[in-house]
Amino acid sequence: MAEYEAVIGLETHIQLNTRSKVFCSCKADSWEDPQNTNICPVCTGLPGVLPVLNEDVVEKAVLLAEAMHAQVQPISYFDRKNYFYPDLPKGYQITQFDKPIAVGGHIDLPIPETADPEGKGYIRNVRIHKLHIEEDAGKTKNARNQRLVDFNRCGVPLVEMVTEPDLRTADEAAQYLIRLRQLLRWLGISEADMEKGNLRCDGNVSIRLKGSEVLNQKTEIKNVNSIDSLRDAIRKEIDRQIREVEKGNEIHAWTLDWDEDAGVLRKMRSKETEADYRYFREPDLLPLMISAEWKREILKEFPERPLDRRQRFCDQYDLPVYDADILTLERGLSEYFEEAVKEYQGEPKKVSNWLMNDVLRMIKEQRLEPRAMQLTPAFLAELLRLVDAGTINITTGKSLLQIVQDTGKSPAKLVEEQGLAQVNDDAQLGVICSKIISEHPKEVSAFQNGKESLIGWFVGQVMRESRGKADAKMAKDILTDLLNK
Amino acid sequence: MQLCDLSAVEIRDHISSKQASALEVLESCLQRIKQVDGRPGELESGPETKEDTERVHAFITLTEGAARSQAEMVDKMIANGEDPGLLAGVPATIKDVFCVKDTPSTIGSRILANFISPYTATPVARMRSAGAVVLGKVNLDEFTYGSSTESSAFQPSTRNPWNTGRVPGGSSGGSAASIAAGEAALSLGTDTAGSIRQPAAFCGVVGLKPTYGRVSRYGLIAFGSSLDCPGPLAKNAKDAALMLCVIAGPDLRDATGANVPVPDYLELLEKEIKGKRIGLSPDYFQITFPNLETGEYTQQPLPIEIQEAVLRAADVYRSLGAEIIEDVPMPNTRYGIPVYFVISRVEAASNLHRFDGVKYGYRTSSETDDLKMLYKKSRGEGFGLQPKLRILMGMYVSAAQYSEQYYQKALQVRTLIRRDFERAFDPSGKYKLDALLTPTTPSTAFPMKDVYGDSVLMQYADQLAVPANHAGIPGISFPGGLDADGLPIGVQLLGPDFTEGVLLQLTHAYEQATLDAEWRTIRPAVLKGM
Amino acid sequence: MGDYSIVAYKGLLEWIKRLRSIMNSDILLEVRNRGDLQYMANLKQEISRETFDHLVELAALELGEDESDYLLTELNKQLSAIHELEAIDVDKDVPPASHGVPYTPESSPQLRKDEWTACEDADAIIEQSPVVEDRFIIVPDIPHTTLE
Repeated sequence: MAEYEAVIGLETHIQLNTRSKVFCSCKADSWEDPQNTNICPVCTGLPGVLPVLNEDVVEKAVLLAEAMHAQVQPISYFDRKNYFYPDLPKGYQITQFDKPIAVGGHIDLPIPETADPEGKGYIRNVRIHKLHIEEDAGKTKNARNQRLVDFNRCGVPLVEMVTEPDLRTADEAAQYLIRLRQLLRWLGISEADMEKGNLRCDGNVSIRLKGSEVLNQKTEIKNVNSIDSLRDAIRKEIDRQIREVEKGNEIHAWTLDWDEDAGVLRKMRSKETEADYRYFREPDLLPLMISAEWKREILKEFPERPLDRRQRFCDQYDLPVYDADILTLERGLSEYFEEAVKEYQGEPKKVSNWLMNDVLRMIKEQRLEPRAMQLTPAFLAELLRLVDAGTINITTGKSLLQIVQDTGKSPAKLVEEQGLAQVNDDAQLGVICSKIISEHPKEVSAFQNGKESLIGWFVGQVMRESRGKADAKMAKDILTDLLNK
Repeated sequence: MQLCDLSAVEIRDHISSKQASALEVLESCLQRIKQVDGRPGELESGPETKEDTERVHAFITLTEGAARSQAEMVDKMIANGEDPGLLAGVPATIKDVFCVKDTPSTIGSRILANFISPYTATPVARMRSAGAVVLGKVNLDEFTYGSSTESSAFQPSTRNPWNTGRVPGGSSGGSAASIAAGEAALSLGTDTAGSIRQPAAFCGVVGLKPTYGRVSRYGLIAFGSSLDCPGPLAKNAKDAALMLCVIAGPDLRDATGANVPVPDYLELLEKEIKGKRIGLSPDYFQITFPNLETGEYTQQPLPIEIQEAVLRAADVYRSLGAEIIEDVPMPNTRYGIPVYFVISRVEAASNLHRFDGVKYGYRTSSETDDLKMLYKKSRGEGFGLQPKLRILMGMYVSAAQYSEQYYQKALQVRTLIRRDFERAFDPSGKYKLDALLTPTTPSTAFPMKDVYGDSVLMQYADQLAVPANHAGIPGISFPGGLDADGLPIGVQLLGPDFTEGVLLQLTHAYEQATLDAEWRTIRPAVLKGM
Repeated sequence: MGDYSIVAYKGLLEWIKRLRSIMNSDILLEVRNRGDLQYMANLKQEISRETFDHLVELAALELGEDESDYLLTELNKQLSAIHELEAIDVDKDVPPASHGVPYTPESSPQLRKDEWTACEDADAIIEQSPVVEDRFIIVPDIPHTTLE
């Protein structure tokens, strides 16, 4: 049986999170609004209206281009793509056809072991073909035999980014979307939520014999609303194509619609692929000029890329990839980590452990913003130092996390106020231990008769008595001493 | 002299100095309209009556009530010692290609016959803010496609006040006619291939096409987006200058509006023209068209009367101290029409995509449960022949397999046309012209129904005007005499980018020097006895 | 003087009559090959009835019989005029001009600042639509068969 490999390219539409639409001053985000309320003469294509380009759209597109190592073009042009559809009020879409804002680029996708059939994990280099700016269309929905049209979304700014057909598995495709989503949120240019439609993806899939360089006929997959759906759909399509080819059938240039509920792909009657869009330069807009100066201005505070930071955390802080990945999932969290490490001045892994588990859990459950937490990186560092010094024990430390977050007081202050300091005073501890021993004669004799595991129980009792403040190790030593007398 | 026959500047001065009220001026105009305009254009107009053939029919929608309120407000402001603006109380008409809030904005087509615009075009808003009294919307060729106003879906279409058996020109026929007939003192028109200048020439008024981007296009229902220019039609250069002061200037809503400061055009008017270099080009004294069998070009000289009107103007300028430079070559003039056929049609076809019966305007009353049929029927029933012609041609020459051959080539030839002007106007070139003096049209107003239907002939009549649209430069047409039939002859001046001030100045100088010309005592026939 | 002008004017009309008669006969236009431009193998550059019908379909128009005849004739006439373009020798270096007037960085208007301004009268826009229900614009459905 011949071995096949899949050849996959992805086309993503990214809705930018600017305040206003790309060519008019309506709101860019009208997810919550009632139909046809977020409209104006321009985005509804009234006679006589003209588009005016939103400066922030250009700046956000440049940020994305830079993040993908693409070349921003000093001059790019807008074009009209002409066709009839009810969600397209002007009867044409303003897009960029042959001279887009950025060309080229790449991303080195880390493919984790779980997504690698060989279980090792590897890097997949994906080249980018181009990025361009365009406007979104409205929405239509079916009701009885009619279509209901809502123009709220017309004119929302989109960046379309097209990869070269460099992906080879459905898992790789999913990883691309995961990393893209991370990057978009990292740069702060899009909410990138596929369920809400601000990140959309179409996939182009073909297959060929392993080792071949040929590009065979591809099909297009549309209407996937989540990363999992994309993975499923691509897997199914690869399987289908292999089946067809094994049977000796041809692959046709179908457009396939993903049915989420049924979990199957259906062939669409591709009305649009038959159309000739008759692209020509948009005469109502001037060429988009991005001077070297403007580009410098936009990129002035360009952040470290998420994957670069991930690598750096491994290198600089000696962290395992697992840790670095979690800590750099979200930009705010990664910045928090570094700040905390700076303050702590101790082993970064310790900070990582606390951050990845307890603190991250808090952040998720309470929907906190790392940058805006009352439990600041400095406070976390302070907490860790208190535990290191033995002033408080780990249990106390962990419970303090929430209290610092709630009150905003420094850990040291709280320890002082609430007398949370670890009880590690010989005499004090000795008193408590003696008390426990005198109160539980049965357990004492059990212990003395050989049940040595009871020491743990005694320590527990001391901890309870001291309201968690006892230095557990010290307590254990004292108890052992007393019990063996 | 009736109030309505005064110039815009005179009316404004009268009102500001309380010699007359805005309301009185308005009444005078309304009276004139009642006397000469006849019934306004409408969709189901029925057969043409004899009276129809003797009236002007400039209007589609007369907004008398709104005009009264505006006039009253101007008078109130004057009474309170406030300044209503540069156009205080001046009566104006608006070519029905502009959207005006709460007014039918029909573009002369059935497909927008019931469209009440929810917003106002920037040039109109600026005129209103300056105190102008807008009388209503005047007639035009359907979607501005034509040079005679005959193609309007709103009939009877406009007739020439000088001879109501003749066309007023187009597409701003209603605009030019309303000025010539004394119904208004100013009109806002548009020029895509001479649509301001040609009707101005036919109707004996001044028509200015500003530089592309000088006046905002926001609210102008688009035809040829890279060619359309809103501009003034008026009785004389001073009035045109007054209006241009108000409407020119960048607009946040127009991304092609040039960020160039607006000079005081009125101040520039009185400057001396001594030393100005004015060119004459042989390429503008004939119509050049191809012999389709041989591919060679034939030239047809323009009528002698028209040539002489231009040469007389040259003499006037010479006597005022300007230098006349002859034989300026403009070799690419002959390509203006074919290039126009391509570029304007591609843009028009796309601009007309939005008229689909879904969001506004005409929707077919036929029951249909198929969206494609809804589009086809609404557009088929709503559009007249001329829009359909342009849509089909536009789709043909922009189709993928022809785009390189036609559209891209046309855009390149457009550069060649522009270069003709750059060479002529180059201050360090051979000719160093301040302006080019040419005829506006190859004929005077032709009879109604004579040419309509022949789209090629109709278009070639724009050969002398369209190069300015391709190049984007400004152009003005002003009356330069009458022909043997008593019809106005238009003389044209073309200038470098953003030199409207110079063109107006030259026009004003000509007017002042020919104030006593005999032909200026003759009035349009429709005004006999008024 | 008057006679001459009439003669000249009539000359123009004569030319048009000639043009019309030429148009009504079948002409195969010779097309010269030029450099790297590729021309259609079918040298009959007139728009055929079939092409015409396809254009009408693309343009979403429904035409009456008389209209079709008129439009097709006029289209072919205009095309002959457009063919003049082919004969023009244009250097490859001549740039296409999307606008006649050149825009400099100084004369170009600035891009729009990213600010939200609510439309004054969104209701008036929706009211323009012929068929509105519950603030949605209603259109018939698109025939869209999803086959397996």
